[in-house]
Amino acid sequence: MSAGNILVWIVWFTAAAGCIGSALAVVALRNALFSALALIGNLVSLAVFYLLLSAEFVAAAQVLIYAGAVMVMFLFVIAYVGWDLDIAWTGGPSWQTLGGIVAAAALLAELVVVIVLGAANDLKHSNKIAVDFGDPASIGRVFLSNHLLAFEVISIVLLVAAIGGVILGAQRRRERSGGIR
Amino acid sequence: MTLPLAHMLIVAPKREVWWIGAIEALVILNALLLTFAFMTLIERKVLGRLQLRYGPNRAGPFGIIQPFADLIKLVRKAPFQPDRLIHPALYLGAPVLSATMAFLAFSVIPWGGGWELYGYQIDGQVVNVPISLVVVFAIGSISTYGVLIGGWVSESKFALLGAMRTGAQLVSYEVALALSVLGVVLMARSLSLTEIVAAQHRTIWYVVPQIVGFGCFAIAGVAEVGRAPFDLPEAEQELVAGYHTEFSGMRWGLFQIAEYVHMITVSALMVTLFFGGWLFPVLHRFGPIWFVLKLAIVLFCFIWARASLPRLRYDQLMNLGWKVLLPIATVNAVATAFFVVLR
Amino acid sequence: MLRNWLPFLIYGLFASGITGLMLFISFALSTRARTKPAQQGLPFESGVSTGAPTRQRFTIGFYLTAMLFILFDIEIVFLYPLAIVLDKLAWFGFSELVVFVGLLAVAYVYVWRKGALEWE
Repeated sequence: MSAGNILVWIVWFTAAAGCIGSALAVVALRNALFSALALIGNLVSLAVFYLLLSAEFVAAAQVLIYAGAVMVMFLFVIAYVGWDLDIAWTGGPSWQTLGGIVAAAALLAELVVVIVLGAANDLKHSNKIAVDFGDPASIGRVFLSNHLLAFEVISIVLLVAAIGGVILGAQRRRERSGGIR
Repeated sequence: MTLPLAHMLIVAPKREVWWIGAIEALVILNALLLTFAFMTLIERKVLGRLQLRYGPNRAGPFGIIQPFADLIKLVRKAPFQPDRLIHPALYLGAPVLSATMAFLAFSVIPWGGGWELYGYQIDGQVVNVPISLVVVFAIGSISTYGVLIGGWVSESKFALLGAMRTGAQLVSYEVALALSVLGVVLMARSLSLTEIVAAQHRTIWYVVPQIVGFGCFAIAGVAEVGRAPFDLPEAEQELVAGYHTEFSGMRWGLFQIAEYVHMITVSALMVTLFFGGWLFPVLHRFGPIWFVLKLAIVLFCFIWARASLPRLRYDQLMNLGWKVLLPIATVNAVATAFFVVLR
Repeated sequence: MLRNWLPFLIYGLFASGITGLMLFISFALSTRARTKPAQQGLPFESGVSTGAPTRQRFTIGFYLTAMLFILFDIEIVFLYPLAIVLDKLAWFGFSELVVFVGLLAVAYVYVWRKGALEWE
């Protein structure tokens, strides 16, 4: 194993440990803000995985959109709800807990089945990655050839998201104008 | 003229050895720190002169060792923390995160063409990746959290208000910043800053065809680093010192470093994207010198703006970002796309 | 390709090392008062502040701003790869770009008309 490979493994294990640890922290921490901060760490460690898979543009986009934009909105939503430390989450209705366990078990079973039965041979590391794999130019070409419909649908999704967000926000604004600026 | 340059830029004769990259990283980090130290001095000197006073002139000739005096003072300050801190690790982590991310963003900026010395290849930039422009924005979006965490964790009214306002300001202007660059990306057909510099050498400095994009970038850039006239987070009349009110000593100093290094990075980005980067029509070999000269001019303009322009109100600030810069930058991008396709 | 990111890793380690070292030095070399003043740990400035307004909420405007930020950030991430190959795709690519930006412009106008961009 070359020095470069060892380094890749070290980075991989660090990111994996960070990923699992932060994911556990998201669920385990009682304060919404600490959970949100742990989620940021989780999303950044996912970006490291993308990078190790040679998808550098996707990695940068992951940091930019998920760790950057989405989590800022999470924090602002928490600020809107009120960052109160005294009120901790005390657990939702019991059917939610049950549903969560069932969903997690199903996902775990699916992963095990896929890895053990199906993809055991395909998951071996191969070097057959095209030179331009993951660079923005090839992504741009793929957008406008194989995935043209998806590309255009995204703009409609964004439009719907804008309308939905404004409707939610405007309603709140009518209900209780106020709050700190 | 074009051939050897293209050779220098694209077909690097050898790959840089990793320890040369490490030395380069150390040199750049220390250069950034020195630039930060003397920017604080130069800023006070220039501000002083613009207001018909001297500025610091006691420590050494022309106050030249003032930054070191400041540093000693900051380091020696008693490290007390607010009683009602939410979490001590976050309180210390926020400034470290801010400063680290500020340093990290500069790593992709090209400042020279690369040289061969004693058979070793030395690159003119620390990190050369094909998506370097997006990397700057991605790291910039992470550094927002330093501000948000810092303001929130210190459990003080002014810090919290300042952090929220700064957060909203940063995200608003990041959109305008990224959109105003789109015209440059369209013309250079690359997200690599090295390629963008090379493309400007082949055609023309992009400040000429992209003058609208440049204007948007300049305004959004000043706002993104929270400098006057967009220094709302630190509007001392209403918010004391904004998100770092409860920080003192070197914890405050790290926030200060973050602010100045961000300013240097945005200036370097401006030089790279619109003013041909380290290249000049003559004497390519002195790439870093041209780069530093251009950078110094842009940085001077930052100080000049601070001395000359009155601070905006918060609603004016948000209006400027969302209702003026965003549409202009979008229209500029679409118009550029039209001309790129037309040609 | 990963080889290109090695300097990034090295630089990042150095950068975090330097900033961490500064924090450490500020604790190692600092002066410490023998007796801690009783009021030192109170929130700063004039002694009138009673801490963070934890029981109050922030305005919904922050949420709206962040949501719009996500929308336009996604737009930008989709436009960058397109922008690089636009000259090869010619008018087909340009028309797709106009449709994409046009739909977002509709969203933008809607958001503006609904007053979500206002900070009163």
